[in-house]
Amino acid sequence: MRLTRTEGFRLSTLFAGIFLFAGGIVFALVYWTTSHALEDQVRVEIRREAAELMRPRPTVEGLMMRIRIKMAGSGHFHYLLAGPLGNPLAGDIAPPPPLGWSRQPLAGGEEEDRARRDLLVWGERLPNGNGLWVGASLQRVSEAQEAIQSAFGLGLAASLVAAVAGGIMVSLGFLRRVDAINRTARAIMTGDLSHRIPVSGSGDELDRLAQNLNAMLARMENLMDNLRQVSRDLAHDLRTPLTRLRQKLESASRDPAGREEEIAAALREADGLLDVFNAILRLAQIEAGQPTFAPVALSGLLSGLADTYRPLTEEQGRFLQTKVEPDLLVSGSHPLLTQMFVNLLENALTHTPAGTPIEIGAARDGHGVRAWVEDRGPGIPAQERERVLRRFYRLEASRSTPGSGLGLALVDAIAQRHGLRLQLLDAGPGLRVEIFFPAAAA
Amino acid sequence: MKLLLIEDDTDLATYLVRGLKEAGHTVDHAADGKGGLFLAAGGSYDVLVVDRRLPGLDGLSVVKTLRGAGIKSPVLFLTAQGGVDDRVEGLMAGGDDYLAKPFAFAELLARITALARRPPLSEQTTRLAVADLEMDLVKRTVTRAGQRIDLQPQEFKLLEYLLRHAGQVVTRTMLLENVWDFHFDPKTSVVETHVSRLRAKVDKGFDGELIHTVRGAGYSLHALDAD
Repeated sequence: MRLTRTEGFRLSTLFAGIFLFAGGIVFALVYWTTSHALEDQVRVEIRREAAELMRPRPTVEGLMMRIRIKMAGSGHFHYLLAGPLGNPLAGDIAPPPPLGWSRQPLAGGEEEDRARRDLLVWGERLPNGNGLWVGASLQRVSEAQEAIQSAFGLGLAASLVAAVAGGIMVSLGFLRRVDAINRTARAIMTGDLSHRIPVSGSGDELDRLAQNLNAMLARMENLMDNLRQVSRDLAHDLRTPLTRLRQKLESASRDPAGREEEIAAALREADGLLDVFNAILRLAQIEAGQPTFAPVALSGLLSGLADTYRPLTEEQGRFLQTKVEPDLLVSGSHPLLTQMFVNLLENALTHTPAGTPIEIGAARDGHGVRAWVEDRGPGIPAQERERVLRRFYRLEASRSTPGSGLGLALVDAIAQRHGLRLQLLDAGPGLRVEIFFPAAAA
Repeated sequence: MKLLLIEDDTDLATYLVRGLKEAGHTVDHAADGKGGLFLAAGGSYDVLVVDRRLPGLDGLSVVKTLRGAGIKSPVLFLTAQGGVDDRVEGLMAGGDDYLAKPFAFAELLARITALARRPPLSEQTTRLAVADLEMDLVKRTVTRAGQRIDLQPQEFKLLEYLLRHAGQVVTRTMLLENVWDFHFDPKTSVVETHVSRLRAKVDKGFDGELIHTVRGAGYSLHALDAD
């Protein structure tokens, strides 16, 4: 049976066993100490009664009379006064038990009552040679024992039932949640990665497991989506230039007149294709590789880039502003960080109209460093900002401008490789790309 | 020039050997690492062109072995892997330059020429000059026909590189790597704009153009009568 194989059931069985064992020990201790205490109390009372009969010392007749008076009363004691040879003189204990402490069945009464009506008897030799015995019923002791037995019996039975029921409930709950995980896993195996494991909200281990698995699934779904999209876009994006390349080669082979020109155009197409492949290769290398990190003088890197791009921006009638704090140091790969900022700058240069100002800057922020590239161009609509980081994704408006659609994907990959936070913000109007180097990377 | 090509791809090797011979060089070819090591150890080549991925002994090991044996011929690595760390690895092993496949033949030719003519102890040169253009590396000044030319730091660096390779073809990629430390291909015309600005300062208003565009290859700095 599946239920008995669950960890919850095993655990509750184990705990029920331990509980029973501990309950048994407590029961034995209570039973034993209560019995002894009660019996000791009876003994003390018997001795006191015997002493009372003898004080002040009576004659034989006087003692016989005291015994009779006592027996007529409502006391729960039993007595025997016997001669030196054991002949009974007064009392209701017969025959005479040995001297000292002994146990005697009580004469008469119901058969089933007899066992629990044992008498505890004390006997002593009187100075005149007679024997005096005083006894008392042990009923109180046995009643207490029975009460303890039934109380413990009921209590233990109830807790055992509760433990087993609780165990079954916990196990069923556990099984149900494991089943939910299994169902999700099976659904995912059939190819639908959008399924998620339900989270109960209790924050326990199973919840954390479910949350981690869900995070893993989200990452996988993202990667699968990426892969699907990349394959689709790669096929789509490469078909057009390959077709053009083929056409050019074909017309070159047919028409010797324009051959030179067609071949040059074919070479340009091939170069464009190679660019795309290089970018893909580079993305893969960045994602898979472990670049060597070293301290990078970010201020120098950024102002150097600004110097590099200033002639170009001026040629396009733009104003390139630099707001770089001096002496900023971050940890990273110099060539990769250079490429990241170059891609951002070139993005701003190619996707905004000539004359649009661009700003590049960096400043300390808390324990980290914040760097940004901002333009006053058309910007990116909020709902598109996430998507432009994907490979081959291009905004409708920029389909006509040259580019592989891999520039920002490369920026994203480099930022991730460095553990940097990349944010695309609204510069109102324009796009502001912020890169935050946390203290560990700064 | 006497060149050794160690390349296992037969098609590419045939194409390169033919091209290099047409450019006036003597070329030996080896198709694997051992054969290449054997040839390189025997003859004194001006430049070795070594593919990194070779059957048997790989390109890195070939160059390490040659350097260990004291053979100092400049080495140009060819590679299909264009990663940043691959390049550093190649230079650490004793390579002098690095070219990622696929490349334009003009690019290879320019780099081979640049490697072969690298003057010894070039770091200690304090003065570079071509025709009436002079650069003082200590004072960081440039004059043409005795007239002072003010250059931005990056323009100075660009002109220094052109002067150090005067008379040779310098490609756009060579400039990107050596002047700007860009080991990737920017999408905008960074090099072109810097060269045209430099040209405006160095050539405009003076007799004879010094900075020339070499169609389909790159740039070259030389006095007109030099070729």
